[in-house]
Amino acid sequence: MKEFKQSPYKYIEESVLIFFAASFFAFFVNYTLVDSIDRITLLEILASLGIGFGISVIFGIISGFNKQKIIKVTDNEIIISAKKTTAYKFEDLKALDTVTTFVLRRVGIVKVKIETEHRCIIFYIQKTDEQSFLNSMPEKILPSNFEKDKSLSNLKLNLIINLITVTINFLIFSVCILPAVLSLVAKSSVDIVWRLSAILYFLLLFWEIILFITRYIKYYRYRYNISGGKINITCGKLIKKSFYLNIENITAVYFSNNYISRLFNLYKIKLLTRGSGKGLIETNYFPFMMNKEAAIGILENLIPKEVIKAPLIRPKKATIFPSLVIWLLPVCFLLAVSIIGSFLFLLLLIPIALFLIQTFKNSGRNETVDYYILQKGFLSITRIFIPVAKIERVDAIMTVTCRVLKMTYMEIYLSGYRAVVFGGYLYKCDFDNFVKNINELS
Amino acid sequence: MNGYIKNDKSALNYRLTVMSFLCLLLLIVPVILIIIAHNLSAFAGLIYIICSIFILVIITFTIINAYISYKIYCYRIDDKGIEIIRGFIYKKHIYQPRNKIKQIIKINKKIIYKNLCDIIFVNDAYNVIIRNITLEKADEILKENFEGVYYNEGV
Repeated sequence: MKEFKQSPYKYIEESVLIFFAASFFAFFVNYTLVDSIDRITLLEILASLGIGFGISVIFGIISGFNKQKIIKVTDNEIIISAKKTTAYKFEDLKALDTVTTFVLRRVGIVKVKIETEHRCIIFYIQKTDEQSFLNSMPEKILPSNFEKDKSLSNLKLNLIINLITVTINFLIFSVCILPAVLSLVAKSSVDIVWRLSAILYFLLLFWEIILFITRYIKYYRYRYNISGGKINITCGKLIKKSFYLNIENITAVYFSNNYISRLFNLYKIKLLTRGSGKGLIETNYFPFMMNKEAAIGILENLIPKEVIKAPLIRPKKATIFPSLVIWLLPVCFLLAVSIIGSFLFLLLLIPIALFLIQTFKNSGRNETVDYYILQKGFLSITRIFIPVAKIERVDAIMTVTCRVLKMTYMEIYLSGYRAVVFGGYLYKCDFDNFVKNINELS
Repeated sequence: MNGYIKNDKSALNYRLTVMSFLCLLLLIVPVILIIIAHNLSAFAGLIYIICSIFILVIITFTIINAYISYKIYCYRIDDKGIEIIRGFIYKKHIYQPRNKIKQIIKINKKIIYKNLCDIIFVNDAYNVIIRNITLEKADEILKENFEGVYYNEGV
């Protein structure tokens, strides 16, 4: 039996975050109270930082007094003793993540997340104990040696596409927000509108730049290995993460491309696991777009080849008419209410109709023996592979319009918290067939 | 609809009682407005009319919603699984495969309607609940469909 003690410095990271948050809040309050930013003195900035520091120290002391966790690993279970003792059997372990951040590395700590049947357990161990802890874990999620896959080496292309996407998103946002800001300024001469819009733009630009830089750094530190029915991934520089996941625990596989990556024939893969709904377990195991061969290569490790190659089928009697009615009726109603003197608003219906036609063209579904395949999307097309064995519950939602058209909106609940796949509109008879097939398969 | 079971009349009464309490809570807003309007002679008439319409709409909607929801609500339990149809404007057809049920919980109502209960079918995702069924019916369902699996008579 191996024993690991939770590091007493586990509260440092939270304290640093609280320091920044409290300092920013204190500065923000100060900034809004004074009329002009010119009047903010150095003393006030120092006071804000002091308040933040004080709050973080108090939090650190309170957090530090928490009873220490002791983690014991035996041959077939992991026992965590804190205020109460809980044992988790190895057979219940679904995934394991380890995370080290810039701050945690300075004090030699590793954050460990263990996903079990019902919950996610988080604790902190010493960096020196990490390898010993991982070696004591069961074979089904035991880490492998990481190798950099050459098929993912299209870095320049990835970065160019990321840059284009970020710029386009920023421009779209600007075009949407600018008229609203201008109209507000025109109506009132209040200076606060300019200030708020400037802060908003700055935050957005800052966020996009941070995203771009983190993608760039992430790429160089990214290693993955898929073998023996398990996925092991390690990535990140400032925040280093390692994921150990058993393929059996994947509840859905998303295979997608967006309007730009389609031009370069690049694809992205996202995995849904049992704990991903809680937001504690990562879903973005493959954060980079990759060429079709590499993507298919990864998919072949996760799902059978026949399922990947299975063609998508659209029911014979499916037409675009019901979706047009479902979407256009409420839009028409709203427009009818809002149109006062101008019919130019009706032009808005053209892009909506184009959106519907394209979405209809992109949609499709198929049922193989073990998998339900679903494709949907407008600009970003996503194909979802769902193992039928993981389907826990199926809902059909019928609004008044749907009932008239004999259609339903399908929601598929998968095993795991908040693991829902929205299946889109389909005929009631198709839904009944789908339910019947699930019955036969299960 | 073939094989679907409807709820007892007491389920409607229970729903009406619950909705009435919610209705009373909602009525606090117009009452406060009327009290304020009493001191404002200029807009008093207008506020009285708006509040009256609001109260009327709430009461009517409560009764209609409770009645139609009760009429629509039905469920079916067979060898394959559980099906529930519920909802009024936003109608939902829930399907729960039988082999995915992990646990069954029966919760008795303890206030006023003591003969009613809810049955919760626990799965790995979102639970499925059959609401407001009589105790006799609940026992009958559990005995018929789940005896020896999740249910032992006389517990």
